[in-house]
Amino acid sequence: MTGVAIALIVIALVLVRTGWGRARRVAVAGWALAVVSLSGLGWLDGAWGIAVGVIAACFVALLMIAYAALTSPSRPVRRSAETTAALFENVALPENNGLAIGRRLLVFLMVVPLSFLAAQWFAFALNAAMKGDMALDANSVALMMFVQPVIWTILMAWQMTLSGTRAMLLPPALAAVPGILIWMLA
Amino acid sequence: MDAGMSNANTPPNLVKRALAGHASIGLLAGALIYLIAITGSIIVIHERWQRWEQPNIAESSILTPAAAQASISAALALEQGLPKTEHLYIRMPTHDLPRAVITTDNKAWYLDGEGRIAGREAHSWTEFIMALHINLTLPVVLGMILVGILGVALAALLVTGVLAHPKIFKDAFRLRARHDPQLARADWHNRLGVWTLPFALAVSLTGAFIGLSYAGAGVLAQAYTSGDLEPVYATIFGEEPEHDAAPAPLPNIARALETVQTRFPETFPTYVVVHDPGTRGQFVQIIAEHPRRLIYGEAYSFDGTGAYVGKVGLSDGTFGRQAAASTYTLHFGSFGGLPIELAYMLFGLALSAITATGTTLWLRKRQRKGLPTRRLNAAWSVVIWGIPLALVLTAWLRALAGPDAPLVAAFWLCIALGLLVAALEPARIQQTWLMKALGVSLAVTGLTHAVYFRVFAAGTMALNLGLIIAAIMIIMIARRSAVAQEVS
Repeated sequence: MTGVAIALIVIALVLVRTGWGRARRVAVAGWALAVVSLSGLGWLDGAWGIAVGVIAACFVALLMIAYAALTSPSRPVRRSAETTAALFENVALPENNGLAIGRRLLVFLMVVPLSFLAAQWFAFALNAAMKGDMALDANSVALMMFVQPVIWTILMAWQMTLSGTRAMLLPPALAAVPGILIWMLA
Repeated sequence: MDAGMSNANTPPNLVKRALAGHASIGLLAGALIYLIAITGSIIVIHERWQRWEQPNIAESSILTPAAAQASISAALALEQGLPKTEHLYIRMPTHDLPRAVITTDNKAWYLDGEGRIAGREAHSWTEFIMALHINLTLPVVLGMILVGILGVALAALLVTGVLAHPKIFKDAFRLRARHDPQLARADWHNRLGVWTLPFALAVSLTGAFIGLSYAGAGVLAQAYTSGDLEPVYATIFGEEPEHDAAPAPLPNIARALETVQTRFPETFPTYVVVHDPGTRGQFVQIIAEHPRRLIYGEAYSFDGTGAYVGKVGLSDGTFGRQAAASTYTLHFGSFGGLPIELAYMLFGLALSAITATGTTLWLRKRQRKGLPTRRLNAAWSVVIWGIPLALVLTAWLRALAGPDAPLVAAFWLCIALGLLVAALEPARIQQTWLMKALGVSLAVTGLTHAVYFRVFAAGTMALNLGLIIAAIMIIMIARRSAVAQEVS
């Protein structure tokens, strides 16, 4: 049955690719079949089944990308000025204000040590809330260790989409303050 | 970083800010993420590299309980004059590595099928690559925390990358590989990024979990156990009994192994761990793999007489235990045999390509704006092509100077020298030259290994063939890259 579910995932990806940009319903059917197949794998083999299914799906998708690369039509390397401008438009460069070492250091301090501490504190508070008055246990310890990097990732990504250094203080604060509340209630 | 033309309209503010944030994180952490990604791709099959590195060791797919028992006395007999070992590990033969290995705190030896010492385990190059990936060859705890931080940085890069590309799913199959180099590079960056997203999120967050758990455990230890880390880890991995250093006969691991075989026949023992061997406080743990599970195994415990005491509960205990025990196999791709390992290698190489193309896109734009880029370009070439070249050179050093060669120092010296030349004389760093040197060195490595050792084991031959194919591909890319540079 596991083999059948994986075969269905392959078919699902083929449907997604076939319908891509052409027949929306076929693509949607492909996504639906992928979800059903992954659910089936989860039901049959738990987390192992889902992991194997996702890897199979990614592998098939990469094969399709490789095929797209091989069949990609060749174009002249020379390009027009407009094309060149469009090509480079969405690569971000820092504003030309010298090295701006001080600002960069401040951003680093807020995104790395400060957000690390905020995420660690939030995760620690969750651990305290989960274990209550009991001794440390596997669930509360594992929860803390899983939550910390996830929260820090969110904080880092959020901070790096903010424009001012002052605004970058908000995400870690929004993790630390609930951490304090959870800690007090724990 | 997206230079795709599909997003040519003025992007909204969030997209612009996400692009800027994505670029900043990439520039800060890109080189180390690349190093971790490329070494990670290699060590997915570390057991096969271990066989490749020491190809002439006799192999045996079975180590009977009696042979395992005999191996303890044989190994401890070689420990005369060395500090008394507190832990002893027997790595049972598996399909990936059909060699039993016994390891003490002092040394490690291969065993033959009878449990006799068959040679020194000396896969120092494979271990060096693993150390680069796991802790960047820094002191273990510090290095693992740093790698954990880089895992978070990679996860944040993935999030900002998705935010920065509003048409990421619309363009998911669009790849103009033979178009303008900058466009092709952007398409590779984005397409590989999209389709390896689940893998990259899984390995970055599990890597962050593994690395940063040291920091979390430290916090919990300070808060609840007077700074002692052992009780914190014991909540997940189980407790060790009280130490009792009084002498005692060596433990009966044969009985313990037989018990696992009869009581848990669906499992495969992978490790026998003896804590405090030869003391009254000794106890034995057998780590056994459970098929079709993400957990690395269950730890079955036995006393010194080999009587079953119980299990830790990694397979059927609390959710926290099972989840924590699942992060390692999910991270290293060791949960589904060779097909999953090959997929992980491919995805890891894709992640390396995403990292490489990301910074290259940024550098090309900088160059176009007329900003000074020569040194940065040269340094990035040293990172992208110099790192794998230095890894190959360390393999040569291992082959020529033996397992005790200073591989760590040699690797970092190579990279430091390359970066120094890039900073002082950037014109001397030619990317295509580095690529060709890498290609030639890979081909020489594969051919020399095949001719010198003449090992016809399928795994070893496949690795040599893989090295030669990789060499051909890299040389082809180098030639194409040189042509593109001449035209543009």
